[in-house]
Amino acid sequence: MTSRQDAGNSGEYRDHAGNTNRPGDLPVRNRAQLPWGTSRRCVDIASEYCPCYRGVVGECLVCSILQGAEECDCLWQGVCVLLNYRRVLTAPRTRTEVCLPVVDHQVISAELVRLTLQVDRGILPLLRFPGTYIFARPAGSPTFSSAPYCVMDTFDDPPTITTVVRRVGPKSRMLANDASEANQVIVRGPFWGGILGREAIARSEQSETLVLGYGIGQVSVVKVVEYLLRRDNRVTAIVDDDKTPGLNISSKLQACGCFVGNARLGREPGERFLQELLGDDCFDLIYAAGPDWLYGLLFRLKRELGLTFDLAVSNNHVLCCGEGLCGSCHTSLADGGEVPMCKCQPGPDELYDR
Amino acid sequence: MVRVVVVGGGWAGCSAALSARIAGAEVILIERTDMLLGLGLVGGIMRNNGRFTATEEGLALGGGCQLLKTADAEARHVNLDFPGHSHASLYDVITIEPAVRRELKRAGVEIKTMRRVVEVVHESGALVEVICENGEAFGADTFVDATGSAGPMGNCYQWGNGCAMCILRCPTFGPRVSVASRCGVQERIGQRDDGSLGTFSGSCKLNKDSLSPEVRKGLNDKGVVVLPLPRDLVRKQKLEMKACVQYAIAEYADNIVLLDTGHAKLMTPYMPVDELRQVRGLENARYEDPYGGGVGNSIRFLAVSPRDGVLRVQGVENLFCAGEKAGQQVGHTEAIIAGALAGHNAARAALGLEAVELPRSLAVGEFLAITMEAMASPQGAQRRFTFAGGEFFSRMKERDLYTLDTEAIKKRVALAGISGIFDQDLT
Repeated sequence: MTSRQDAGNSGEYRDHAGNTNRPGDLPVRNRAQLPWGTSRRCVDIASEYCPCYRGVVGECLVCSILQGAEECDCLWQGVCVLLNYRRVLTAPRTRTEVCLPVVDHQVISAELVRLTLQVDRGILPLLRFPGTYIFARPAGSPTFSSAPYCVMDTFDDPPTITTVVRRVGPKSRMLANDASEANQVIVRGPFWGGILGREAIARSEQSETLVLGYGIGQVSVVKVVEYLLRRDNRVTAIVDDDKTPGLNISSKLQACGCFVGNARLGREPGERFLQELLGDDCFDLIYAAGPDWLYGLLFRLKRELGLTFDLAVSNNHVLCCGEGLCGSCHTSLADGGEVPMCKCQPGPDELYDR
Repeated sequence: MVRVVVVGGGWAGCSAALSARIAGAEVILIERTDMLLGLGLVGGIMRNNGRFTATEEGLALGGGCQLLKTADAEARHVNLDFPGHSHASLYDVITIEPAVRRELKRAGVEIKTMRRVVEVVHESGALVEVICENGEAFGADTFVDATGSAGPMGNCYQWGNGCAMCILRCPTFGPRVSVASRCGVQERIGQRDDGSLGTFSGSCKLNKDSLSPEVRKGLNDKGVVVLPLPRDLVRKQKLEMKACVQYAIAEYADNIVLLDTGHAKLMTPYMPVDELRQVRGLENARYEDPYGGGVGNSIRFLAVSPRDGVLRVQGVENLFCAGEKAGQQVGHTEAIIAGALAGHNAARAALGLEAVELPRSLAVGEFLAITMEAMASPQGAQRRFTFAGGEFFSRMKERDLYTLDTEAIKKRVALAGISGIFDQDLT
């Protein structure tokens, strides 16, 4: 992460210009209501990490000329990537690794550790958006051992962020084992593609909203709830800590002013619970952070019960480089195209409504 | 009731919408920006040279050509001569758009601005619906593609001097998308003499208040002011770059020619401000349009659709085209004529009637025939057509088509059996 005094050219955060983006607002481009062509929208466009290496080698997701075409025929997202590239760029922009001190290390359970990392004050505004994540690995580890972790909380004074590391595999175990207070963690970020369907969140104002946090998915819920509450939405949160005993954000959410319930969302009891909860179609928006089956279930209920909510979900894809280069997160879309899920933002319906 | 959807609310699209409505169709006009007329918002030149004849022929045909009367009504100057051009009319660029909007509303055209068509649904060689960026979809029996041929910015960057921030306002509203190309039609791109693609738009506009009182007075009183350029500023190579052959003559390289359309229209694609300000009377000049007129202008002719004599796009049975899409043609009059025919034929096709072609005994018919022929040959990529000058005006004179005798023109149209053909309600 680079140290920055102000947001400069980034389309993300422009409070110094008196712009409409309020601190913590989602980095959604001019047209928040973009259902068409969403599959290939790029989450990094107009940010300080655009153009990226993909653009340099002719694989820009958005600009036809940076894909090798002769004519301009882009997926317009408010900014001409080509003009930025040709006139402004001296080198492709990418996130670089920085060493962040661990200021707090809390063991939640045998599986879970909550880390608090100190960050540069200048980068904090870019870490506040719902759906923001970082890649992290212990100091001294191989560079390819970094894994993505959702930013749960951000604090101004001192400037810190928190995340929860769950021991599921070698990378997360390395980090959970090694990171303790006063250690350093090597971090790359910020990345903003943690939520699919975030336009729906961005356009929710004074609406009835539901947030479902299943297991480790709870980590992403905090920022979403804060965002929705800031925009005068009524928020109901349902939390299921069955898979992550010890991690329960209920009290934190209650402190925000959100109605919170605990429930089991899995299997038949979960389906019955959701049927009852959603049955009278009172929710305009649902944000769900959990496994793929939860998303599929929500779409199925939507169809079967004739419901009308918008759905945004946490991005479950295997993310490895975050820059659209490694191919780990590639997904096929219904039209046969393949897109990197760290960069692209298909709507949840394209992936889970089948 | 049959429905016609017109995509693109410039002069061609407005004319097409009006024609289709008068013919009896339900009409929806979709425009990506927040105003109609597109480049017409910074244009203004009517009735010059052969356009006079074309205008009178159009008025005799009716339909969308009624907008030519609207332009007459908003004229700031009439019967004006300026270098290379006679009996021109200059409309007021500020009052013209509300006037056209009123006309269309009065006729019952449904106008939808701030909707950018980005995708289509088409099957078996026919267009089913057009889809806007915000997800709205519009189906119709027939469609007209009047989306123009200028930009987007990536093209203006590649083939021009970059985005000059012109009235098309691509960065604000998103750039144009060709409906025909979304249907899989392979479009033509115009070329310049040196083989590079597209052409610069031929004029820019200065803010009148930034000019000296003498220049302003000359503009207001006479409609035209010609100021000699200091010798070292004469740049003849600009002539080749223009879309508008009618201004590619020596007078324009040696002088600053300003026309009064409400803005001060400068008949050159662009000119650095430092150079402009060396001209007497322009010491404090600044650009009205494009904002970057000191550096460049928009690039056009980047999307011409192969079409037939009735303006049907080849390969899509229910899609017609108008304006710059219908050929390498430039000008409001040209757009209005093509639009009127396209809209009328779109209504005809929607009603199951055969579409009509304009006869070559008329200047307007000859024009559409010639621009179509030019599309068929590779050399055609470098030709530009307008009633106002260049090769087509010469052709008009050669064939005795050019005349100012309005009665003779009316008779000509009547003789062809098509007086008021666009004014008929076909339902």
